[in-house]
Amino acid sequence: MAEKDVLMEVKNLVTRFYTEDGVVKALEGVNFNLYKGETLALVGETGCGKSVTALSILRLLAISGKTLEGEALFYDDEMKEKLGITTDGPVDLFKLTKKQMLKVRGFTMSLITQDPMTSLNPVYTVGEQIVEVIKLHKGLSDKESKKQALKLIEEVELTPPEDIFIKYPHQLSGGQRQRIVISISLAAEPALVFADEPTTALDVTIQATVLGLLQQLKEEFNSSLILITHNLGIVAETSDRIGVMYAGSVVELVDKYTLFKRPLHPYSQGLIASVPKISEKKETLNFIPGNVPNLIHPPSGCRFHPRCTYATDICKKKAPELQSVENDDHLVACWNVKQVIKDLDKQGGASG
Amino acid sequence: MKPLLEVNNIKKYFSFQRGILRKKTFYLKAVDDISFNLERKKTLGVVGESGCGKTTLGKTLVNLHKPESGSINLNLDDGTSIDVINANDDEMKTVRRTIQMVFQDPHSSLNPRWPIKNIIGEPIDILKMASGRREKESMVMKLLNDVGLKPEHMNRYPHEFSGGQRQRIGMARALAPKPDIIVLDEPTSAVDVSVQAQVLNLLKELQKSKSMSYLFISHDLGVVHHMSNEIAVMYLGQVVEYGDTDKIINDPLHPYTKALLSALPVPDPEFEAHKKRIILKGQLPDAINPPKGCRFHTRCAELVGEKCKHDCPALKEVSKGHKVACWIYEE
Ligand SMILES: Nc1ncnc2c1ncn2[C@@H]1O[C@H](COP(=O)(O)OP(=O)(O)OP(=O)(O)O)[C@@H](O)[C@H]1O
Ligand SMILES: Nc1ncnc2c1ncn2[C@@H]1O[C@H](COP(=O)(O)OP(=O)(O)OP(=O)(O)O)[C@@H](O)[C@H]1O
Ligand code: SF4
Ligand SMILES: [Mg+2]
Ligand SMILES: [Mg+2]
Repeated sequence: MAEKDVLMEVKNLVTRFYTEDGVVKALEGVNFNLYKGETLALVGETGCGKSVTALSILRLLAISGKTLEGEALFYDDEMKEKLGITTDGPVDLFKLTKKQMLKVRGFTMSLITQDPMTSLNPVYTVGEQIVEVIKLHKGLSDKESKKQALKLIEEVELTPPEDIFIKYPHQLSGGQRQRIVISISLAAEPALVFADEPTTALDVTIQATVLGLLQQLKEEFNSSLILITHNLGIVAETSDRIGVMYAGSVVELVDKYTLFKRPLHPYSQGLIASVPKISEKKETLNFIPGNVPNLIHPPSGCRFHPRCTYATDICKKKAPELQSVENDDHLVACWNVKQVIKDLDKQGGASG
Repeated sequence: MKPLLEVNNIKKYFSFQRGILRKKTFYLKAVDDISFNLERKKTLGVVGESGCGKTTLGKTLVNLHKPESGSINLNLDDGTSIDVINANDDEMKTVRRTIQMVFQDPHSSLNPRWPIKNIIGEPIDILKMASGRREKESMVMKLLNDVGLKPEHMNRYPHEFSGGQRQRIGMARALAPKPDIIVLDEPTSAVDVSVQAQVLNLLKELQKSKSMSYLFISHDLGVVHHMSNEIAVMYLGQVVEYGDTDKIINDPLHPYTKALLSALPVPDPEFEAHKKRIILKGQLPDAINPPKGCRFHTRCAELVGEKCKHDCPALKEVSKGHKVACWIYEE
């Protein structure tokens, strides 16, 4: 990271889904900040709230979902200019009108999902779709826009660009479609890209290309990236910092090296220890006993307490807050983190 | 003692017709001249891009595909050997019992309309291993117990289980005939890391307690490294490199292995930071029309010369137990 300017501060997001079976308490106070130009990875077991976090911020939740509390403070002058906001300070995304939010999603933020078809319009050629964004964004002529679109298609390594330009989404492979979605992102030069399992459906080599492109997008426009994935390998490769989520909140937030070497939240410790590593061969892998909790009836207090070996009385009563430990840049939400650190130091620093 | 399984020069082609007026038959060489040995109680890992033939290789070993040519010999502990491809009915029974497979997708490989006691009991029926219903049920219960599931769940249906539990059901089914070899096709690709750890531990425990050999197919290099004694790297139906796990991971020789290693993200930031990145150009070529010469030459970063374009290098031993098929190492 070249600079450490904050792009967005997410504070205390609380999101619920109202279903026939009951209220799903999907997010219970999600907190994190995001720097300009960084890749923040959100990791955690299935159902922990990674996608819902992204959708809440983008304000794209299903009708049954509602974000009850929280702020997403955005520090981006260009966005303010586009929205015609002249007041000082950051903009809270939750305070914008629907119309403003539509603009924000067009220019400032974009979402790349596992299934690129959801972001593409099946009745227009991919070329038309890229041109549309360029025209809106840069106000260029039809001819100029087309020229730029072809350049973008070439940039995502789809050749010959003229052939790809006239194709409809269904005429392309999954990997090709994903690259078109990325080229549309490139066209908008967004300040923030959410990539939710962008390569899960792709093969390793195409995965490498797509990850490379996301990296490029970041470098070219100093965009920030929120990368959501199960794959800790991808996280180790592409992220700067990692937010570990458990049952609806971020329980640890720190740079990737520290997280893999010295995770401090008991859940992160379990998660990291369960991954087979190349640098050390172990006979058996650690794992976290118990199951992911039901979010209609989540555990009280710290939602991890039924599976936690460190749990004490207070863990059952009150949810711990995300706080800095050891240094300002290492945040952990755990009542007993001091004990965790003591145990680690006894073992000689490394963990897992 | 001879290796448990000796595979020599097997080929599995899929044929189909293209063309509207004049139909022409094409061959897709999914497995094209593959040889290896599987030793007792050892794990051979198989890695390679999607479509390179890993699953086809596995299915050929368990006789779901009949190979075009080549031989597969099963050398049993009692000294007898079975020529798997030309086995008679009696021998075939032994082969079915001895080599089992756990399939890639736990959702589609378990019959959704059957309670799991029928799913796990099917091989017991086919191989007539139990004398009656009672004995069969007690075998099923023991198997469920072996894979860490509750025996009283045997009347439930697959959809009532989580992804990790379904993997265990597939495993219990494979264990039913007490096999010596199990082909594990991407056994953890559909589950979370913490569940993956449990499944991998279970596989290792079972391998020890039941003295089995595994052919372990996976995309995940960390997982293959964790599980395997040896690794075979496949490209377009062929093995291009073969050797001890540590050799393949730490000292890869084939340009494709190097590229693949560099493309596969490893959950270890320090390793990632030092990793040399080799960009593999293009996609896997059409398997119906594979490139002439070395099949990898169209994407190779080290291409040594005209030879690569015209002649196909053979898999040759370059150091003890480390084989590679590449002209660079041919002297
Ligand atoms: N539309 C919805 N209606 C009801 N519940 C929902 C809805 N969308 C998500 N949820 C619930 O919210 C919780 C968080 O889901 P989310 O999709 O964010 O998980 P995730 O971390 O992205 O998981 P995965 O890794 O499987 O994608 C889950 O318990 C999920 O069941
Ligand atoms: N039954 C079949 N009929 C025709 N072609 C087939 C058949 N099964 C596989 N193929 C083809 O054979 C090649 C090898 O397929 P295979 O499933 O063995 O690949 P794989 O290495 O297991 O890939 P993945 O990693 O995606 O599972 C592919 O080109 C595939 O399309
Ligand atoms: S707060 Fe308590 S229950 Fe939660 S992780 Fe820390 S010790 Fe465990
Ligand atoms: Mg998700
Ligand atoms: Mg396969």
